[in-house]
Amino acid sequence: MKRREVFSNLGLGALGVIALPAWANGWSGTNIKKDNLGLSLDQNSLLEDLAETIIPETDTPGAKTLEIAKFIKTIVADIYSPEDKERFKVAVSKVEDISKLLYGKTYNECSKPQKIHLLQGLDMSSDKDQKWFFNTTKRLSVQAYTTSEYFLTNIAKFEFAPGRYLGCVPVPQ
Amino acid sequence: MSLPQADTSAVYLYLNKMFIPDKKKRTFDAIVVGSGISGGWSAKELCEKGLKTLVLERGRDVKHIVDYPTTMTQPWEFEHRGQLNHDFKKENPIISKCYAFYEGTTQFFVKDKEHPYVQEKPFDWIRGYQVGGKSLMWARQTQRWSKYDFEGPARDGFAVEWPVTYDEMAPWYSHVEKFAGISGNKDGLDTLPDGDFLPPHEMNCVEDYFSQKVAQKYGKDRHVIIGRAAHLTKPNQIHFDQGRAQCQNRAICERGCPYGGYFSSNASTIPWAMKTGKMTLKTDGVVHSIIYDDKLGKATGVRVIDANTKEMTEYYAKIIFVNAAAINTNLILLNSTSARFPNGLGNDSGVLGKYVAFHNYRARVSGEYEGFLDKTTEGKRPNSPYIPRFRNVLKQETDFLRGYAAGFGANRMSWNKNEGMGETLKDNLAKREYGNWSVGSHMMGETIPKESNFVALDKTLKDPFGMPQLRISVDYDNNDEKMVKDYIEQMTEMFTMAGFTNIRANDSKQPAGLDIHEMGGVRMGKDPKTSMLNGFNQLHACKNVFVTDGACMTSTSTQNPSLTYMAFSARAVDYAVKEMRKGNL
Repeated sequence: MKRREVFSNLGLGALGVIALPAWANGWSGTNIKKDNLGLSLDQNSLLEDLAETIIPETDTPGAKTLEIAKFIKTIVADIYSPEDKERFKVAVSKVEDISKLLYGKTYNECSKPQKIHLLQGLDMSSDKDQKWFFNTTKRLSVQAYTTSEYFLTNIAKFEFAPGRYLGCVPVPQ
Repeated sequence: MSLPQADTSAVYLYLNKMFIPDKKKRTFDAIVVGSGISGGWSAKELCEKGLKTLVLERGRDVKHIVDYPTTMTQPWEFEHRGQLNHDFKKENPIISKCYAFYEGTTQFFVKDKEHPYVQEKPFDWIRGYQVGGKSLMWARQTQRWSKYDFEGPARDGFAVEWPVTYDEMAPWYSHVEKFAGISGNKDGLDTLPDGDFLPPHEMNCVEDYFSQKVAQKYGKDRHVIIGRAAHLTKPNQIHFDQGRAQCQNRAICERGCPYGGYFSSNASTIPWAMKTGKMTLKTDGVVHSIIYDDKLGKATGVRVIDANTKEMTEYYAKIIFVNAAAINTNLILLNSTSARFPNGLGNDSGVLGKYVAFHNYRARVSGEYEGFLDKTTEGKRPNSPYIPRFRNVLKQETDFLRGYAAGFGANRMSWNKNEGMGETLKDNLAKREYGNWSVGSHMMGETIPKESNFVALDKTLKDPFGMPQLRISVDYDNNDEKMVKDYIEQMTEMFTMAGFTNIRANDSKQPAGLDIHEMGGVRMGKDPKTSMLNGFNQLHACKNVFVTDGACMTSTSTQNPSLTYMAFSARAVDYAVKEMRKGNL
């Protein structure tokens, strides 16, 4: 992928030119160990970083604590069609390239605003696959978060056996 | 070192052959084929009347509570949050369409490959092969039929006249309602007679509003009432005696209920029958056919294929109840050939396997309501409102025969705002936002039984148990198309009248079968020349065989049929045992 294309695809043209280290274009994204989705260790930790950017640890648990990346991988590996699975993997493999082109460093090394900025760029991208990848990752992160034990018990006040149905109560304030 | 596992089935087989060769050990007073909603009732009633009863179940045992592996699974404990594996869905395109089939319930449904059949026309055959059958995962709606339903075929000149009236059925409806536990409101409608109800579930503000608007506009012709459902909203002693407790409104019934909060064979009739000491349960027993003795002129037992060893064993009894679920009951009778009945047991008329019908669930109408925006609901309700049939009830008024009932429901739309990323997103997700109320309805249309809608045995193809595969040839007709159109028009009119907005109609065109209300093939009727069973669900031509599951249905009307099967089962057992004791069987 050419740097100019990345910028235009990401809708980040206004960012200006960032110096790229020489090795950036030669980066191969070596896969060492595969998981059920077939991601390398590096790609795994990248996905964890992406999920953590979307759902960060604050005074309440974030994506790493709640193992949101693991959920994303499970869903994509088991539920998605082979085509979408491949599409997801290809998109993951490009994120580090984009990060290096944009900021000259790996996604993990980026600052918090840069991490968010990159994802916003994917969201606004004219590249359908990148946009789809962002939407998928965000949707699955939100799903993982809002169906986690932490969220359901502490925030949603989920009741497994409510023992009642009231048909007309005031909307909680 | 690992020790080799003992081959237990071989050991049992050996013991069986060596020590229980005695025909006596395989002889009972009664045999019930199937342990689902109707078989469970047949078994309970037979055992209570003191008959030594063998219940044959083709699938595995599912014991109440202990065999509900997902009943206590929390939402976050499902690895895929309920979704099904892509490859699994691809291998199981039929069962994957069923609304109740998900990560928490796959153990209770038959996978497509396990029991193949031939679709001459598209037909989604949804099956549950285990003790309890589909009573574990059913939708639990339980409405009585009215006189208008039983009188339908005679009045409108289709199928054949029902050999039984509402008044004859009413006490048996009461009998099963009291034991099963049916919640409902006494609405006083002659189109949907009241039963012996436990307290009703509550309608929410918008459902109540719609009910009132419909009453204002249509007077006594149309009604929106709370569904009548097999839930213990307030258990009576008879339910505690079954070991059941109050429904806890979890609304995950299809996983099996540890409280016995809804009615299933597993929670209710099967353990009750077992407690009499009269019942023997044989699981993994696929009934091949009913044995007919030409000399005695009656059935003497059944041939059973062991689902694991494929070995055939015969069991004997004075009376046989076939409750294998509608289509499989047809299969068994069609496969029960003899010199006297070369075309299937009791099939002198040639109608066996024919006049199969179902319920038309194709259309939905949805919308929104912008009132009661300061209100919402709390808790869960395993039930929803119901609109009894209002078309062609007292007289023929449309250019199609019969009519439809409809489900209805309103829900306050709410969601977690999911804008932004990072801390902003997290803050947003912590807030609950509320929209309009969503309202929705689905039709449940009566289909007209026809000779051309049939099931038959394939001449060459066999299933994995060596039984002939069924050819299923069941489809919609023009009457159904007109009914879909009318439902959409009428429901749209009712929604518009109530001030609902964003009204949308959808015709799913789903194949027959997905309604899981397949009926007929062994229909009841007064005339042995045009029907299989008499008014007591007894084969006209083989008096000691009874069919009380969906196969017996002469017509389908619009009500969810299970309650009627329960009542037929109890009534037929009462008759059969009396006849047996008079020496008539």
